[in-house]
Amino acid sequence: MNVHNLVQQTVFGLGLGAIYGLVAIGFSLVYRTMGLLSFVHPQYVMLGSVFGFTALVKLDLSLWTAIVPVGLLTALVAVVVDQVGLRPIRRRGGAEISLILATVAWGIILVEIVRQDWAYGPSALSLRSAARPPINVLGIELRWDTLGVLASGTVLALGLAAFLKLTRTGRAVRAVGESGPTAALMGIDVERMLAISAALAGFLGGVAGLLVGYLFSAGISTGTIGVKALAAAVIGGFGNIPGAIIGGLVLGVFDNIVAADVSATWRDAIVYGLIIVVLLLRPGGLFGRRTSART
Amino acid sequence: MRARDAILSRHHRSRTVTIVVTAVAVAALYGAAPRYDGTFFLSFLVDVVILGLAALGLQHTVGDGGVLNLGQAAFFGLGAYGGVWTLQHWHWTTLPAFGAAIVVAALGAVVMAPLLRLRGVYFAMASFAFGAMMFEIFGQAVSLTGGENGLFLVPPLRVFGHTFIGNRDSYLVVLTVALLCYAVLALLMRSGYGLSLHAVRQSENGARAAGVNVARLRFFALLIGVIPAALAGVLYAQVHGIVQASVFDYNQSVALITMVIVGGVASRWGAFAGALLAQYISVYPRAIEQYRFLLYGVLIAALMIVLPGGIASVGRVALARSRVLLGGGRL
Amino acid sequence: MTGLLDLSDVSRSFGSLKAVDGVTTSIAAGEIRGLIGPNGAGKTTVVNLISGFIPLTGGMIELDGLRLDRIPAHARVHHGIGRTFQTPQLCPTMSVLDNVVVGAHKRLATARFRNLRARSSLSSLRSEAANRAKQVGLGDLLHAHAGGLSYGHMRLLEIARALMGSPRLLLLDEPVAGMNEVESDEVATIVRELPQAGTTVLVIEHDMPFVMGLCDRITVLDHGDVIAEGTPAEVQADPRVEEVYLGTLGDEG
Repeated sequence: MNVHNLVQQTVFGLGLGAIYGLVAIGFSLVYRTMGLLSFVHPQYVMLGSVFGFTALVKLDLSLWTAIVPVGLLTALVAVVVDQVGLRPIRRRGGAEISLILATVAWGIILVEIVRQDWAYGPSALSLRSAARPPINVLGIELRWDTLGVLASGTVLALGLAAFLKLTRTGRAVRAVGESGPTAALMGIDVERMLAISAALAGFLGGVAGLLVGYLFSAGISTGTIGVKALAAAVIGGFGNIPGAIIGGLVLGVFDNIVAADVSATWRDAIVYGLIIVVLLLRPGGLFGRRTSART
Repeated sequence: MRARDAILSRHHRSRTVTIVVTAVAVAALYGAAPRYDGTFFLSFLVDVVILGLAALGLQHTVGDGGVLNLGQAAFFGLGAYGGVWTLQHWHWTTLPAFGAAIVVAALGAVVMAPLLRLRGVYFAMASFAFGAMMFEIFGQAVSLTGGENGLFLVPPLRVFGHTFIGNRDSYLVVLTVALLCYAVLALLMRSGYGLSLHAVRQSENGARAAGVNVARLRFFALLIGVIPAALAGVLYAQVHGIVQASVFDYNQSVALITMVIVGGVASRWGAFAGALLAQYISVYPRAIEQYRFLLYGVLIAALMIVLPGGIASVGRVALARSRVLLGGGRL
Repeated sequence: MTGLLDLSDVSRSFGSLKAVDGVTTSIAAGEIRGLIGPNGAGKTTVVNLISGFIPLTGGMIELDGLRLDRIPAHARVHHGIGRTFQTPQLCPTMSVLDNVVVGAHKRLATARFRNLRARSSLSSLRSEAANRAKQVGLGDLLHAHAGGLSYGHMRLLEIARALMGSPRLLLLDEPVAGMNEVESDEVATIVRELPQAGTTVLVIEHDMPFVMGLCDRITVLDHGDVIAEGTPAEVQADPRVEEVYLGTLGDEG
């Protein structure tokens, strides 16, 4: 592979990577606050993609105007899932596995609702009517949609970081992430913060889904992108939010280069292998501080 | 001394009850073969028992061993491909193929062993990735597995020179294998090994201070749990005559853990109850055809809230409630 | 000096904090040794280091000439190290009897694969466990759930479990904390009999009358370092001990 191709693949990869990053933030945020590996999270990507179909195709909105409504709608679903499906289990002090399985169940529920003919049906949906022609910079083809995806991903990630660092609510969410009982002693409404983190994760997942639909296609199988984003969360250090973004970008680029240059057939196997290697050798993530994931 | 005698006699009485209930259940299970011969229901039962067998192994790993393996489908697949290879290329019969399947799945467990050092959710993710990776390998290693198209013309079950064809014969074989695995696991859990597993689950530090090699015990829980899945893989291939990679994807791993939890993570027969429910939903409710999986999702979500101990805890919970209502004795 | 257990320059730091800083001592076979010191002196860390629950960052530990510090925790049990915990670590839904049986893990492990005889050897372990439970005064509670026991009974159960491994050295981490005088006297009686059965004892305890009445020798720890060692009378007379530690003794009685 020559340098030109490598750069080209890297640019493509960054677009996909921004999406992985948005989804990975959600995985990490939910893990940080609830200690939970959420299997419903990939399905928020799926939901965002079909909501995007409604916004862009049915309502003829632009990508920019669609971001907030699609994100909010998905966030609403995420909060409902959390309050109806998970909160009763938390309140009972239920086992971790009950919570994980509840997220599996809600994943099934969301997919099955969307699959219905009166909803969106089982086939893939196309969001793009006409993409703008690509521009050339020093011989590298830059597509507007890739740039748009990268830009919106960056803005959202920075916005979330600012929210968590600068606002009172954001700090409370982080406090719950450090220690729920301690936060409760400090007078923080832990359940409310968990709902907020569910909403944030849902919002980012939904926007990621919109972007996936915009770059590729929308529909019930979009959730698989969400599953791969788990790898991004692990690469960045599971639970580490800035790491999730970097992990997403790294995974996007890596995935694209492997697919284009090493082996398209083995790309997914290699990505899953990478999860295992990172967990074993650098459980704190490739860039994060070393944390112990050992027994 | 008298108190101890009372405890022993109560123990013996409950043991008699257990033996009678078990004998009736086993007789009823074998009786289903002639009763439903030639019906679709019997082929449905065959699939329930095969999936239940894979879930039974996972119940041991997760429920008894506390090792949250989210990649069990990989071992289901390794057993199937390992067994089918010997059936097709070396013309082995079912029992030797079982041996090959166990060896291949055990090798998989050895490869997975380093992951056991990871704790909690990290192991869960790593095992999930392991299962997903193995599925990709099954799909791509076409020369060994036939890939997405699969391996065809897998010879039927053949044990001690007798060939078992048709639902009735298949059912008798899979049921026997499942009951034997069930019995072996039940005996193991009553041995010192079982006691050590209980101890590690309840207090890892305490067990370690008592000299329990926690790492080795966790590995055994994984290894012993993948063996029934490997056998289920061979049975699946021989009963259906075909194996395709899609049977062993990560959704299958999630489906198997779902069966275990829905049935009741602490219960061996719960694994089969979970398999029964899952398989029932996927073939039977024709009236609500397009809503059946939605119904399944709602059922699981509700179950995790109202009955976290799974289907197997229904009896215990009902008993406890009725005792509370009657204001009588304690549990 | 070579005793049953030799600690040579044993150290453990957590980041920049030196929890144990070059502890050297030797415990003779048959001795009952007390380990005292103010809170945060590093006493529990020493027990964790000897039992292998945390690794050393310096020095070495020998049991009868065997380098213990290179052996994992569970295997140290097989070499004769038993321990209890400050916060009892029991299996709450298992019976008292089964909790004690777990203490015979090494024998359980070999019983595991002798499939046909496993049951009989398990039942012989059970009767041995029942005797151990009686030895610590839990004979009436064999079939009670460990999780429902009083705190004092839990501590006794931990001792019984440790004794199932026939330890050469038993590490007791605050065995009488929260007990009244009658109960702690009972524990002292149990511990005092251990050396005759071949078990040497290292005991951490804040209850001074208990320690002074029970131990042959006492090691005083402060800031991870040994500041005094000797018979109870010697230690009580040591001015350095008085300075760092016995000043607080008055408060506790």
